[in-house]
Amino acid sequence: MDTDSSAIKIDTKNQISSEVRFTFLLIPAAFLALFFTFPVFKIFSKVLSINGVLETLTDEQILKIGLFTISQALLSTFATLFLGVIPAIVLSKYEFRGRRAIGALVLIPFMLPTVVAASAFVALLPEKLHNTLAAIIIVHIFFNIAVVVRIVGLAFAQIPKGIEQSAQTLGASSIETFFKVHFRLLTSALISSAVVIFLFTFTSFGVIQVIGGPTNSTLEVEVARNALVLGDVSKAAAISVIQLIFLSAVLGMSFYYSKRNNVILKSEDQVRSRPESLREKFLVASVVSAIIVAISIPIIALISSSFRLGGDWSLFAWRNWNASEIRPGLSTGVDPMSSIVTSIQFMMASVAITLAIGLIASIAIFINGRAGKILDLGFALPLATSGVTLGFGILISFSYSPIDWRSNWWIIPVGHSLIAIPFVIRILLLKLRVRPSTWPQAAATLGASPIRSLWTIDIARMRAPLAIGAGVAAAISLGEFGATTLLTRTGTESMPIAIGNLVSQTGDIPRAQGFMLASILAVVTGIVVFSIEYKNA
Amino acid sequence: MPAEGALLRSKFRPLFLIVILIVVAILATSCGTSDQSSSSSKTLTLVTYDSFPEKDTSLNEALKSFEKESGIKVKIANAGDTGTMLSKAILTAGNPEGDVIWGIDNASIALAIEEEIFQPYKTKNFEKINTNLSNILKDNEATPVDYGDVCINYDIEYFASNKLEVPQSLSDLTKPEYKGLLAVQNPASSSPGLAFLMATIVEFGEDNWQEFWKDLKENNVEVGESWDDTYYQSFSGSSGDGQYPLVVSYSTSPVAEALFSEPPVEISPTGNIDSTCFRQVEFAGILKGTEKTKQAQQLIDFLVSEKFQKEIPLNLFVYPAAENIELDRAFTKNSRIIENSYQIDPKLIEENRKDWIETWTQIVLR
Repeated sequence: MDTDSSAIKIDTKNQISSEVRFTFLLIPAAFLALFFTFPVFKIFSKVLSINGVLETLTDEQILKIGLFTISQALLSTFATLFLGVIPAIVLSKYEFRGRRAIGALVLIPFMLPTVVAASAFVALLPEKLHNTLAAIIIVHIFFNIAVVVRIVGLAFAQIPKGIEQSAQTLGASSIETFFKVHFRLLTSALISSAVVIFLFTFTSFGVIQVIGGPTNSTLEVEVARNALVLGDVSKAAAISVIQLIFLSAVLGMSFYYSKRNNVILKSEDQVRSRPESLREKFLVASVVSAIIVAISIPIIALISSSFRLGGDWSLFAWRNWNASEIRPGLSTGVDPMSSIVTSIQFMMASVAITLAIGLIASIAIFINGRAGKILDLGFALPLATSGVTLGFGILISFSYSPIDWRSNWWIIPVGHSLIAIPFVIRILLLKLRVRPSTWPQAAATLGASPIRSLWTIDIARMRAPLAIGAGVAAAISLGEFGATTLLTRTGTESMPIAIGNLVSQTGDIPRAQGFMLASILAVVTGIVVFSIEYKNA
Repeated sequence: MPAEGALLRSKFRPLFLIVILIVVAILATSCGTSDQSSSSSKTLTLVTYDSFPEKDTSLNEALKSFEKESGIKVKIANAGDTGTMLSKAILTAGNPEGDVIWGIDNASIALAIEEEIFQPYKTKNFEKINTNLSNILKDNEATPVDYGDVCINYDIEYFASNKLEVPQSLSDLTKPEYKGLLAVQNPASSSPGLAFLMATIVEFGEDNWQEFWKDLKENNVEVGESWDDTYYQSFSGSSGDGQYPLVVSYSTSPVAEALFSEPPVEISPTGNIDSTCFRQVEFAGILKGTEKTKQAQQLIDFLVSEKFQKEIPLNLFVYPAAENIELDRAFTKNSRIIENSYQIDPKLIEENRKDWIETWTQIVLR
């Protein structure tokens, strides 16, 4: 089937003029260069020294921490994949009441502020597990399972029903069918999600700090300690550049490997079927209840913390939900209401940027050959970059006129988009690549220009994947983590920042208010993701 | 073919979605920038850490009165926690994010001075500042604005019901009766953790503090990654359900416990062990590279004036640097100003911090 995919590229290349192809490439490339490459290059060139890097590379302690980082990331990735595949398949294969709600529920952990969700976990996990590798892995599964469910689920939805029947007619058992047919067709999606989860867990920070305790450190934690506590930015940069090079190599390898194993199906989304046999019903019921239990227990723990005050149940936090002043003259200094408004503004801006750039970028990747692949890889790099590096890079890069943007509010949603765009590209490309190669010819026969044909055949079909992408982008923006949390803000405290601020104050009330705001964040995200997808997907 | 019809109908929808979002974003931009475009000479940006309130408090009211009297607007820029704020100030030295910075403490002030982030200024109100604080920096690179202490807090109820005496000194902590009762923070990632480590270094001396920590480790000291973790997950005196009745926290934590409970209580469920405290002093300074030196100087004068200083305790839970400021009842009831807390010269801290933390890590975590 490899020949087929190159056939598409050849025919699209022939139709669309090189100027158009170049324009499509230029816009996202310029965006990436300006907001990612330039700041990262700038911070490295300012603080990095070759000696510093060599010293770090030979530092035994850093090597040990590096090994731990890799092993916890690998274990977390495999565990998440293993547990995520079945829900992914069930959610995309079967139609049942509440399916969309479950789909939205799965996304909630992904955007919960790590500090808060992780403290909810600390309260739930037995004492014996505190500060252990096992606890880190459990929490990583919770945060990242959405990635598998989304990416693998989307790919599974495109596997034609007929294939299964053919395999079974040919005498394959259903287990054989799964491993020989489905598994092979899902390879690319599995690799994609594995890589994303590996990057996230490798660069995990909040979870390791709260769950891992002081003895389990990762490279990202070391970067933050050096840069944010010890004031040694150049050591932080040295660790961060080593991490970036390593992860870029992993990314490059995965791109190469997944290209070779990419089987492209030319079929539209399959219609979901209702579970019919008892076995199917049982499967759906058990997956759904497992998801509900696994995801709601920590969220319920979180919500119930907002009703606790000094060891008793209390509605106090909720009754004063939009007040920073608790009593006359006494204030927490955090305004929950305005943080909600700010977060929603960021989210809208970020979704707009992500969809616009993501759409142009995926078309550019689709219609360009090697240059497209490089662009694809380039957009994945922000996921491999330490938040401190990118955040400080933005700080020192956009500090002179005419690009003195560091204190402009919109630089924050741009930062969120850098994280969201690679997801949207994955989702859109999946749809672009399944289009039968005969359609452009048919359009040309009917007298359509190449651009018109690209628009009608490819772009216009992007509604559903764009909606899914919008949901993911919204969740990423609402749960903001990494680089943008380091930017200086004026009157633009978002929910995650406000929550972090409240839960680190002394006293019952700010603490309860922090959990209240975190509960609101969980609910808002659930609603936003659910309604975007419900309308469009 | 039905598929084709659907195709044509849905032609403009993705574009539509994007256009709407872009329009909304542009609208939001214009709202958002309206209050930021005012970077005229009449506006000062005050860079602060994240627990400094942006609005709605008596501290902000006080700043408003300064705006009224001087005609200078003050914009508060939240730079994150103290460590993040410092690193950013160092990276942007000479081309700062604001005009005045609030809240760099004595553990890192020497580094900040070495990296030349400040433009020195001796405030008009210098005489009003407690001399123990105003004599820390000889060249007035920055101005002390408040101080507090990192102390061991204890769970009053625990010690009463177990008929156990509260430890009276740092060396008491290694006694068998206090085995497994203390939670501290990792000094590599937490500023109270570092302060407590420095308290033990002063108490036991450069050559013997390592021995104390070995004993403390033998005595099952619990180490948390951050103040939040230890105070809420490990400490039994807070609203969390921790198991450790002794924790490293702030001397004003009992005050906040009393005030921020519902209903407010007169007496906090937690107390301080006064003989275990390390002094933290916070400074404000003019950022080098500002084009509004005059106005920045006026703001520094105001920050140490009585009008502003008297609002500090209830909003930031630290003590004012200026002398003769009356304290709220909640403070006098639940905390004392610690007279003999441990101190180290900022230069010495800067020279040794890395080694201390490295040694500590070797002893306690490995």
